[in-house]
Amino acid sequence: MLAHRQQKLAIVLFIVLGAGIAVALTLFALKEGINVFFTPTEISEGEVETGQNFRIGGMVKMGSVIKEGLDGAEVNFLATDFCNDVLVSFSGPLPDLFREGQGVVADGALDNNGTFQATQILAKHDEDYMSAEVKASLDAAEEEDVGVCQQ
Amino acid sequence: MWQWFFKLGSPRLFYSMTDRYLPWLVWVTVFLMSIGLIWGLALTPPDYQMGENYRIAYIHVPTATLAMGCYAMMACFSAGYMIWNIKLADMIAKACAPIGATITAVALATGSLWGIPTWGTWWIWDARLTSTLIMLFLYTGIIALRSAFDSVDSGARACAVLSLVGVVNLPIIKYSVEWWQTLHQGSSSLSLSNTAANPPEIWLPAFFVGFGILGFFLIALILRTRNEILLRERRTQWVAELVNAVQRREQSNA
Repeated sequence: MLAHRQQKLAIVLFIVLGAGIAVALTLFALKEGINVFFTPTEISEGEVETGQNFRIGGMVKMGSVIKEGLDGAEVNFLATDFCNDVLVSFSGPLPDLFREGQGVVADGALDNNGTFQATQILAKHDEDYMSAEVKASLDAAEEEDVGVCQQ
Repeated sequence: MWQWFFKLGSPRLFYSMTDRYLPWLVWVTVFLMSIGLIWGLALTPPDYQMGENYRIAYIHVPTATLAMGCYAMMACFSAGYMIWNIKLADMIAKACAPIGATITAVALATGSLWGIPTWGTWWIWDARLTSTLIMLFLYTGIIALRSAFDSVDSGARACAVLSLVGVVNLPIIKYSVEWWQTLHQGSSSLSLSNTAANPPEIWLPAFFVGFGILGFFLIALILRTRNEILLRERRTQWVAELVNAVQRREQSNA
């Protein structure tokens, strides 16, 4: 390759690498700030203060959903990352995908009792798509998929 | 050795080659799209928990993938222009930007429509959604930047630099769901078995739609590039002959 073409190639690489390093350093500095929610373990480690508005994310613990009030409009459940649980309290409409064993992201704040008073509940679903038949045969073939604490 | 490479960069050759292959590309695209859309939107079974509304993934996933692929392509042609000064590479890069912006907008819009019934919100500032929105801003920024220059060459160089800088966003979009906690789900691992999650009956239609949208993208790209070629080469002999031939044909028809 001609010398001035090599020089141009070097400039192109410099632009891509330079931008890459700059952005990588910025993202590394922001690190946790980019996460859209805190996990129950991070909350138990005291990373958020009482009254501070934030999002909590985890799984709706199996068997933990209790509905009260008119038409079950008030709902209490445990959000878990399989290491720690946080009690979440919410009244209002739930998304269709809200159910036990499903991912959940809730917006709100911790009260003095350590209960998360949610103002909004979002459902987080996984990336496994299949028909009801496939799901039924999977469920029949193996044990209920219980999460494990990864720490 | 490099001669064939520079010959490929001839706008005139590109124009005559695409003349020949464009009709074929249109037929293949129509074929793939109709199979993929009918299969994915109507025939394949509904999801066990999202029901029918997961079908929007058959538009959302191919468009989101292609939006990133289009950006990567635009950046490659920008690099080709910067290093070898190939004018055709810049014309193709210029044609990529508005198509890529449109496809990104479709991916974001279908994602929102999918988010309302499943997540319970149409938008959240998580890493996947935000980085994809940044890609849309990069595309529109590149379009705006080019139109801000009077000189074709200055605009081309500025856009090439911005395109290359924006490449850093691509791995961020791809790995955002692994590096950070997001509301957006991760990438599905496709299965070859019919008795596992993500079986072929789920992802095969998406591949048909994906290649169909790729075909549509290439058609739009070729048409835009051809216009750009005619515009920039309008003072050359071969374009003048082309215009004469068209005029003669129209006169004999009239």
